[in-house]
Amino acid sequence: MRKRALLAGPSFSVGLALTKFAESLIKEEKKNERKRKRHRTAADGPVVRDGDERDVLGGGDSGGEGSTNRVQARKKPVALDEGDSDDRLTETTPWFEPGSSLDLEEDSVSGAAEICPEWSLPTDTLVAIKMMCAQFPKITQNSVRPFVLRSQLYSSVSDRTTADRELEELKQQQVVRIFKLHSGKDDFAIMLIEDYIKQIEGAKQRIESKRPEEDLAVFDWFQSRVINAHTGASIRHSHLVMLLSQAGDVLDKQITLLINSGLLVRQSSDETTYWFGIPSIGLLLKSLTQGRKELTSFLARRRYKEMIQAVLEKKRLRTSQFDMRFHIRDLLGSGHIYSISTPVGPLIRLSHD
Amino acid sequence: MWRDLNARELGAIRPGLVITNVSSRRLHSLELSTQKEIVSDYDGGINNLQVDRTEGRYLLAGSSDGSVGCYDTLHRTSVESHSRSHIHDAIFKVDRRNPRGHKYAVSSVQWYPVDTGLFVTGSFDHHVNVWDTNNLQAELQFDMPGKVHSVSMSQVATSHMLIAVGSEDPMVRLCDIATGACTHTLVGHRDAVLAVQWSISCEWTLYTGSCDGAIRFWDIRRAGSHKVLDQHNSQMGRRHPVLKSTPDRVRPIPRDAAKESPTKLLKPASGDKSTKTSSSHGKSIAKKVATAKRLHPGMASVENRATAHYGAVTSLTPTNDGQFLVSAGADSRVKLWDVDSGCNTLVNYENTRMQRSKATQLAVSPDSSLLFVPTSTVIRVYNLWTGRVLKTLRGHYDTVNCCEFHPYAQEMYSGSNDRKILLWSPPPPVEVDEDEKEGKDGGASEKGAFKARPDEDAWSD
Repeated sequence: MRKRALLAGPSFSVGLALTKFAESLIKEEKKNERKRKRHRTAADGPVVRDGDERDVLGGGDSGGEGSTNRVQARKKPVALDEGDSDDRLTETTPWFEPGSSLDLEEDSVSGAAEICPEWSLPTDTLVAIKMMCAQFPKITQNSVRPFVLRSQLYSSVSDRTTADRELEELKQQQVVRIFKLHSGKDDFAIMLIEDYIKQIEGAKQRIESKRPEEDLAVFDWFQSRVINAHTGASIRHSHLVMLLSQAGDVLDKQITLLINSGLLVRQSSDETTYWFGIPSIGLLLKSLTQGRKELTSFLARRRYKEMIQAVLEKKRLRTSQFDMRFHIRDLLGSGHIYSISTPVGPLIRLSHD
Repeated sequence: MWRDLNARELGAIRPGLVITNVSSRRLHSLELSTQKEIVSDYDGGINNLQVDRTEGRYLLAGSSDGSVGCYDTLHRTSVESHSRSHIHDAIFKVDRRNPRGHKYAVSSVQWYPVDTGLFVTGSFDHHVNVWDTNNLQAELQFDMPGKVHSVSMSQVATSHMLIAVGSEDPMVRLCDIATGACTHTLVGHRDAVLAVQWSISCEWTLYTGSCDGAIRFWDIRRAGSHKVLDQHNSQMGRRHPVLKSTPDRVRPIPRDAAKESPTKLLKPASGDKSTKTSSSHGKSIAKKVATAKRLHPGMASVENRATAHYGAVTSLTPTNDGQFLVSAGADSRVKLWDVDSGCNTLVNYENTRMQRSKATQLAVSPDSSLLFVPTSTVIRVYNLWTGRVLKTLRGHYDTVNCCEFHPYAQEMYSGSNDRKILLWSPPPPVEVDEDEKEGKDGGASEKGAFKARPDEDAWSD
């Protein structure tokens, strides 16, 4: 059921890559988990999700129930206790136990549930996010952690409504965070919460030497109070002050520190609200807009406004730090280009509407 | 259809299901009509269309050149000679030559809900006119402080005859036909109001959407809006789960935090309100001006800055059952809201690249299964519940402004900036040709063109 949904997406190769990535993750986890003891808790076993995830009418409610059961069954502190920061594959939440794989029939899923009650089948959206974060290019100049654009998510998961709903669930379970990017168009960046916490620490370390200790405490308060309580992309000033003052007396200059480090961004339309931001993302935003423009103009200059995807992916973009695959996925999701399957492979064409 | 009738005869399906099956099959096969055509000669694009809900027969069209035309969708006025398609000409047209005719673009038209003797038009010349259909005279004229973007009258109202007017001014005005004056002023929005719709289930509830991105629900018997839709409040799926506790799913913006800090917004709002009086909350205004901190309980929603869209809200359309509301915004997103819970149902309508600055009109089919969204020069047909594109209707040469679905027949009308109104209907049934039929009226010259058999072509000899 899961595999069918993955492969039915707009890009066949993406779907295939997703399953391969997931299997490679399974192998990694099997290696790690053999060393750990398995905890059996009294928590309820996970509910097997209904196979028909596209049935919005009936599936909406059962999907809701399934998800809340999954929340109870999942152990959240597991996400924060791994050590290695460089290896992206192992730092992610171990979300399945050994002895299981993604290619499952219904009875073996429930069989797996008997052995390990905390394990539950990960959603398409989470697999897609993790895969794309792993493929994020390494940029050494600034320490920006991997993020995924929302339009890229739409091009990877077959059904947009399901992607939206699963993303909303992940947001509320505090597995990912969403940020609004200021690149002109409405882009949203999705970042895993472990990565975001590392960003906050990085921002704190950057100004550690220049500021007194008590001012820096606001970063810890921010991390402990605000991030856990508020899952939206924007926050009002009054609410922010209220949350921070639960931890200690907050001064205006401390909030200014947060703004200067890039963690909070003032909204142009509304003076009392802030967006959450990713520190030092300016260079990447510039890359994003220029890379998009370069790719669309490249296709527009061609005679028939199309190109085979395999050939296109080999090209390098002059103006962007991101690789071609990143931009292709982004433009596929926002609808500026579309993909046609041909006998020689997928073809990318510029849309003209 | 014959299969359905046969099944009904045998008792395999319920009688009501035959109608549902036939109408949904016709709905899903909409295309540019070859049998019927509406003649539209205007000097400007068509901004708004409305079919009357009493009979489902007359179509009103408001255009950018200030004229309003009316068409009979049932009976044709003439027949075109070559293709034998029915031509529907305008029954009447009210334009600038009329003494109280609109001087600038007509942005919104609506029939009087009770009968087709009156219709209401709103225009960019700051007037809302109520016309008598038989005399074509403007019986009433209401003056608005800015360009009128949207007018609406409630279809289910039995005790009031109010026209809700959304204009450039952030305040929504309710004008009464019975008295000829503006009776209510609804305060809450912070920018021009582009979309105004009455609820289908309740005659007192009004939905408004404005350029600041907020959608507000008003109960006109009370002060202030009782709900502001927030795009971050979402629910999974169609029905809000009754047994789950609300805080898990919905996190509303804490009102107390908003009320504590005296915001800058408070002073200009109270200043405005002191100059404009309204019958429903005259007392509370004086109280508010005196003490800036204490708010009338109904006006607390003014502080609520939740937005439903990241840009202006350009269109609001309730579904026929009154339980859902479709909203379109300048951020090129179309959202489906559950009216009772006020939550976003997170249905994603792909690739809606719509007009950003102008009010558009979306259409929902009467059985609430299809959504018609005008996107640049085409109309995209979406499945309302899953958000997938079913079809793209191409036919217009310029940006499409409005779509209107016929309440009873499976027909859709669309108007665009290319000054045309197009009619979309299911394809005609394939004619079974008989050789004898051709032989019989071979003499009569009624059929001008040569009628080809299905296995023959008409151009070779």
